[in-house]
Amino acid sequence: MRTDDTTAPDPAAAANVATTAILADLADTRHKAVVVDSPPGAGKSTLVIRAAQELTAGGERPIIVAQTNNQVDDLIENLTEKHPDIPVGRLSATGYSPPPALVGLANTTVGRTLDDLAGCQIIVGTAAKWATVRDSTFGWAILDESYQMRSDMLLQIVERFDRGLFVGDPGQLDPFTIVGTERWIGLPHDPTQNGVSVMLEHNPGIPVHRLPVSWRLPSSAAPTVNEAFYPFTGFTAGTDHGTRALGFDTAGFGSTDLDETLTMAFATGWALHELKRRHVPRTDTETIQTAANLAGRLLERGAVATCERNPDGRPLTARDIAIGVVHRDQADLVRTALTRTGHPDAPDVAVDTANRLQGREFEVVIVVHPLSGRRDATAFHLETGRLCVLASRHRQACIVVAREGIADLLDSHPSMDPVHLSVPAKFPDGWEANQVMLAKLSQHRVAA
Amino acid sequence: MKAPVDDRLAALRGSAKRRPYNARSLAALENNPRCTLRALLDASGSDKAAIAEHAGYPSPFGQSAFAFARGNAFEAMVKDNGCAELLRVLRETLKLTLPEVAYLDLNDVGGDGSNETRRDRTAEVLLQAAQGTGDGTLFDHPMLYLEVGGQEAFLEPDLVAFRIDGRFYIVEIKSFPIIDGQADPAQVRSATTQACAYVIALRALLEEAGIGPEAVSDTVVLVAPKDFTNRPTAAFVDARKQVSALTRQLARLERISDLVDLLPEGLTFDLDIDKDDKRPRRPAEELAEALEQVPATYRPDCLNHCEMAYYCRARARAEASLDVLGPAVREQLGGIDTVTMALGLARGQLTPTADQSDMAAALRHAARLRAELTGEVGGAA
Amino acid sequence: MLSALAHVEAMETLEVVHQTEFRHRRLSGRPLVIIPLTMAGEAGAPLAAMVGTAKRDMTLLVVPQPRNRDQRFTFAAELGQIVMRYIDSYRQDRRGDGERSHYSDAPQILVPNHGGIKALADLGRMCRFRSASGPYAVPDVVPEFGMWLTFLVDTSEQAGTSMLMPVTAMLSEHWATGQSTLEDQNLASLMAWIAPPDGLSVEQALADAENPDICPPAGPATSPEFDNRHLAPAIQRFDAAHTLGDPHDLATAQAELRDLVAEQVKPTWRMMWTAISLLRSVPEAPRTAKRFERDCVSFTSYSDYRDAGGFPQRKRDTAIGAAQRLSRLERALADFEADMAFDDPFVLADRRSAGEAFAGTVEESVPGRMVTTAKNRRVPRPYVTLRTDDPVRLAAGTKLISPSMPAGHKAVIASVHPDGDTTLVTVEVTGGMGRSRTPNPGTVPEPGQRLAYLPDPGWRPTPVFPASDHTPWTHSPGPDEPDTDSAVPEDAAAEEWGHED
Repeated sequence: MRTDDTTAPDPAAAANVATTAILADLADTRHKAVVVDSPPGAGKSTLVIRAAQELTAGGERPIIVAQTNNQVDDLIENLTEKHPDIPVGRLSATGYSPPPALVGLANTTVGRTLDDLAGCQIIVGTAAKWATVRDSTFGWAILDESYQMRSDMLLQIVERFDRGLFVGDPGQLDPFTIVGTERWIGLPHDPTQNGVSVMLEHNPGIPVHRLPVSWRLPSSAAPTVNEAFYPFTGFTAGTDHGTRALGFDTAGFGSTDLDETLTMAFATGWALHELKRRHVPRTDTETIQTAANLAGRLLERGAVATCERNPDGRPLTARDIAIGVVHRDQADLVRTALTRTGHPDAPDVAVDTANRLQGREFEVVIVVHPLSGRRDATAFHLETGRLCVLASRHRQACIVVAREGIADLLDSHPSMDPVHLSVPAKFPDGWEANQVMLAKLSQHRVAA
Repeated sequence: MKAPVDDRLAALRGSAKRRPYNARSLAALENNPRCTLRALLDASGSDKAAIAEHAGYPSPFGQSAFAFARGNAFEAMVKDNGCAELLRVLRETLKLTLPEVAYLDLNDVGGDGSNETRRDRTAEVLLQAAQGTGDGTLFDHPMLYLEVGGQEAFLEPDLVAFRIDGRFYIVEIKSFPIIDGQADPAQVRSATTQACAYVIALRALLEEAGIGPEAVSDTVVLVAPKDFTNRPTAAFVDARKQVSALTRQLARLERISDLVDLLPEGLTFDLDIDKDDKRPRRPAEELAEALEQVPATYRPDCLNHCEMAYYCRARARAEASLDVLGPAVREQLGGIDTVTMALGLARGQLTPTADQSDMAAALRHAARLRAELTGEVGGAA
Repeated sequence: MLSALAHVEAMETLEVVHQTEFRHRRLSGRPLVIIPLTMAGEAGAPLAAMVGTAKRDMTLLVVPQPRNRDQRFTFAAELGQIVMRYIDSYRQDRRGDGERSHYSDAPQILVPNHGGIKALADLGRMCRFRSASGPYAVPDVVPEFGMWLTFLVDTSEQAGTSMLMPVTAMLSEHWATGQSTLEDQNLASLMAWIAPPDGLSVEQALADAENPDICPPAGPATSPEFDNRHLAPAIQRFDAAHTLGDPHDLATAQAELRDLVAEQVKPTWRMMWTAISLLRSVPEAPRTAKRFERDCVSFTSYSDYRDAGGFPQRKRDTAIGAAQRLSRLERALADFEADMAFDDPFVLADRRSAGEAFAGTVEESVPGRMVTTAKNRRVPRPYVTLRTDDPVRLAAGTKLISPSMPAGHKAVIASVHPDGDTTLVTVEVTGGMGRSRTPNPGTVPEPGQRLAYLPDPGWRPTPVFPASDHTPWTHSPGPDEPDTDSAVPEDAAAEEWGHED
């Protein structure tokens, strides 16, 4: 059951319509669950906080389940900022030390057990921590990033609540396991699937909403990300052309191809920095160093970002920049490479794998393309969620670093995936999504 | 396709009769799209098995008489009595509400079993059905036709296409079992890819009459033995990805001329088969020389499906190519192609080029660790 | 990287290369070897099996007409008796008291390859729901055998277990060949590398290994040429004799079939025992015994379940059963990988070359460093800095264990700094120092000492799922819809056969 086909011309109005519909379903006691699909940057956190507040106002004592400690911390920071009057509890494991932003917040209590948090109206914790709680049941749970939560994890926490609001981005990375999964394929309760799909499979008639506006992605990016990764659901950018802009502080001298790429990205929101064709290991120094150098060069020249929050412009710092990679070893090497760029702030640039960048937001994101320099495309490297995460973290511009030859690689990719009975094919297809992205990037190509 | 390309392809094949594409060889397009040798042999309609054998690497792809008999017996049983079992399965297992069923046997047309006659008759009845003027619901062994890279391909499905809610469905009857709702994924894949050729051909047929692709479902119905019994059961297979993948590979075939252009003049794989004793007269060394002119992309997985695989493996071994070890090792040694190079770098006997320096360092480190463990002399740095 | 290099070296030298120091799988003193053969075109149609606990003590069972249902179950009963006798011999000697007691040994079935496990899985599925009474009754042993086979096949999915293993997997874990993983699954090809027959080079042995006339396939499928040339006519002669009912002809036809199949399976049988003695020559890894004890516990627990008349395993897992199994499998895999790296310097080196572990020399040590815990206790938390040549790719905060330190030693990475071509890693020692305020002697690495660290797979709580009869609403169909898979399917015994052909 899909609802709210919003085609309102005004993004804010469209988003309001969607939120109102969601809150109405939340108030409707006939539903065991409400699902909200959120494309990148569509105000998922805002919705979670709004829903928590509404439920509290209605006399509920909701719990919030997030997937990582960082997500929990972010949620609490936002909650206490928006609703300083609501006492919030943070359910934490032994040894958790709160980040500076949470220290000394008057209405926040950190506790190891529910007993420690008796006075709190909203209790937030990771799924793993909630899984250790026994014998308490709450009326509502809000499950954030629920598409990243495995079905077996949901099974461990589901007895803690009567009704659930499942919020998440279906386009991002699926949960995974290191063991063989064949035995469960085709089962409606496959434990390796995400919790939302399994819950929907068993509960037809659950309302599924969709947030229609990406407030993060600029208008240069939303249509491409939409087409590549969410081909069956439309969303638009929350800002118009011209609202977001990047400009340099200084003129470019010297490193010409880096500057050319930055100029392309600043002007159009996208750039493909294409290195010479070569088969290389994923730890290829040149690729890694180029990604770091682009960040270093950007900091060196200095940039000012204009947007709806800063209409008069704001200088970009290293914390506004992220470098996204596929493998952990690449991330480590990029961090080292950043120290070599010579710019003192470069080490503050966020470097991480797609998995760890999920849910985060930056002004400029530099991406090492998952297929760069590879000889073969594997299912892992073609997985749409990975590229989707990397290509949808930015508010201003996305720069992709890759070796030439990805087009040929896709072209000659054998389709060897096993096929299973009665299991719907997973869409979007990694191959197709990569083609869409590549077609877009080729219009923004700078040969290095 | 341009005429000169056709001439070149015909020259590659030489005096042998052209082997037309069929659903199996079309499905094989997906297995190793990068391999030039396979692409040229297939596009020219050469007899890969005969060529491989003459080159000294006979392909081991026989079919067991048991599998063959089982397949035929199962299909016959499913289609017995106007497809009585098939209908039971479609209704009971897949919960399809089928209207009055009319069964049409397209195995021959009034005793004429030629491809062309059957193709025309198939086109006639399927179009009538699509336009709502015919009365067929089950079509036994229709003969479909597809133009592949400028060549005709008759697709003779041993299966039935039928019509539910105004759509055609391809039904594949296979004799591998569905046990507790699961079947061997590799076999399902190969059955599905074959079915995709039929989907594409049927869509092409309907398109000529101005009927859109949605008239043919890209969900395939697989009918197969249930558990360990002889009774059939059925399952849906979502073939959307395979249909688009095969469509892509068919489009690639159009670019065969790029490959042909790179070939030396006068290259041929002709075996020059003797009319009388049916043996190749062409010296094997000469054939081997011709084959070596064409790049091949060997993967160990080729051993499962390509007639040329044993030839290509021998070639890869002779070149000390890391392809022999398969994708897992290749992946770790990205950018290094041969054993000689990998070990030369590992032992510090070769000076790495700029783009090999990372890999060389990793290899030397690994070699040093191995030397420490095995106590070899000269390994320590 | 190290194992990749081993394969490359093997390819160059045409000789196998060790990639582990130890055998990480337990090898029973009395394994039961089974070589199952099936008939082409029909899953679960057994054709034959050669089975036995010693090279010279084998039994060959042949199904003369694999399409015949009665003959299939006769075969299943015969094989079942042999296997159950073997399994029962391990259900005698029980150690310990009460609930915690368990059998001191466990069975081990060895098959040639993964296909062999699949064939046993199919056989287990075919047998376990059968009934000894009612329509299509089968001998008592058939369902019992089916359940045990299913149990063994299920354990073989779990990393580190040893009760059912393909010999090819055990061999290729220790020896790296110059061929692909796919070819390594062919027992004859793998053995051609490890131990080519006398007088043959590896190259010649490899060519023979792929020639079905010299090395018939190790099953479960037979070679198509054999089927067409020999087996099909022999089965036809058997069928004809069967129809005519002449006992002498029937016996001749049956003997002929047996001889044919025996010729096909014997080379593999011999090779299996050669492989087993080769594997015996590789020393067993230290932690294998500990894992084997867990095998004994799980064997005991299933044995008790059978003794109590428990149900056969379901066709497919329930929601809660699936979640429990997934957690078990993930845990076992993480533990097994850590065990191997802990025990085996080759495996450790492989992980070191990938940056997932490191070894180096201690440059600096601050043994007197103390911190105050959350419970306000002063505890020693020494800092140790190592210099390593390894490409360390572990982040600060990673918990570590060390095969070079006394048991119980634990540490956490405090920082990683590249220094020229080497890397300086500082770790905080967090455990294994004893209970006093100064670390026990020898528990903190000292300058000049060489040691290795690898990530600690850690302890994590066993997940708690809802009770198995309380599947929650997210994982079960609504009350209107029936549960489609009860423990024992109603039609189990009377599974329809269709018409014979």
